[in-house]
Amino acid sequence: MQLDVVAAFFILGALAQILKAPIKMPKGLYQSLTIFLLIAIGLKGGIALGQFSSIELLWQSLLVIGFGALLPLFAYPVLRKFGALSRTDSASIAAHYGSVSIATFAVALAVLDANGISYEPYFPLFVALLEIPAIAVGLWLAHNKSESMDIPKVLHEVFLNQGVLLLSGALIVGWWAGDQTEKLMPFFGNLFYGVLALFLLEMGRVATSRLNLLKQYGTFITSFGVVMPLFGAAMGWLFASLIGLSVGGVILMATLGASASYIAVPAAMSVALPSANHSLSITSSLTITFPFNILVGIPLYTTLIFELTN
Amino acid sequence: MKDNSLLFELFTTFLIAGLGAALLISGLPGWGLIITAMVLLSVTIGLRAAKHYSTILIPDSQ
Repeated sequence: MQLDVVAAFFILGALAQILKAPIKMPKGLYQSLTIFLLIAIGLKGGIALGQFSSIELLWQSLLVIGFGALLPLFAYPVLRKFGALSRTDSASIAAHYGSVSIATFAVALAVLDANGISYEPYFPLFVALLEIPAIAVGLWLAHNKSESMDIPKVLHEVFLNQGVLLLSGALIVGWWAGDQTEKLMPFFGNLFYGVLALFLLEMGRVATSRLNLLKQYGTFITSFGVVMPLFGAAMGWLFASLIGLSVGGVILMATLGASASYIAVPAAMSVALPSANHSLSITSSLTITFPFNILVGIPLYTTLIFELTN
Repeated sequence: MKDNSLLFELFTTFLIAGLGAALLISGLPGWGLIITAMVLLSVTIGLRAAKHYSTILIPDSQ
């Protein structure tokens, strides 16, 4: 499976940074692109939710929450034993890998659409559900009786961070409004891939600009950042097959299992675990796992699952 | 002392290279994993070597 055209913009951004080309997106624009992607994905999923809501979907949703809680429990002992990281750092990184990346999901959607592979249209619901449980498990793993936690502030960050709020909000709006959302679609539907390409251009630049931090954090985190997505993808593949998702759904769940958060979890962890090394976890998820998934992972999961399932 | 981190890095590198080779043999695209394994091996060896030589060339001033 060849590299998708939107992923090529990621490489362009990375090359621009390596060659020190003066391409830098204003921070406000980058924020706006993130908001656009969250609303566009949420709206699309919300419209589908109105058509497909059932008891089976409720059960699937509960199982998805369980899946999100499970992944950090696998990551944590590896980080502690092989990485020799502190309890707080291990828990924080484990939470990042249990949660999901919206941009990685958007690229997987683009790849499925480009290859004509169908998937459950309500999948954004699962994305919203997967954002939260890993944070709770991460906090539980890091829990230290001597360190007090500002619970209301933590809950505020967990449930009202940009990713969770906009994705869930757009899902509800799409579900409630149904056909009325058609008038928004020339903006949120037709422009989706163009906006994703712009977003990935900037992500390529940002991810590459952090590469020098790897010298500081050592080689373990590089290996972890590659092997954990492969493990998460295998778990996602197994889980999605067990709950009876379509081929496209299995590919999306594998991609979500492989992805690591770099927006929602860092925001929550910086409030809940101020002593954790947040730069380390963002470097791992953004500089290693995100590019790996975009350039190698998604084409690999798509081809492998498609070939073996058919 | 046993270097757990190095063991993990070498294990993951060979695991990924092995997976990539298995995919290629099965007629599936495994080049991405093989290239990733090569990058990981270069990082593991390169950064360790750089750290080793920097401690030899720049002795602790204290």
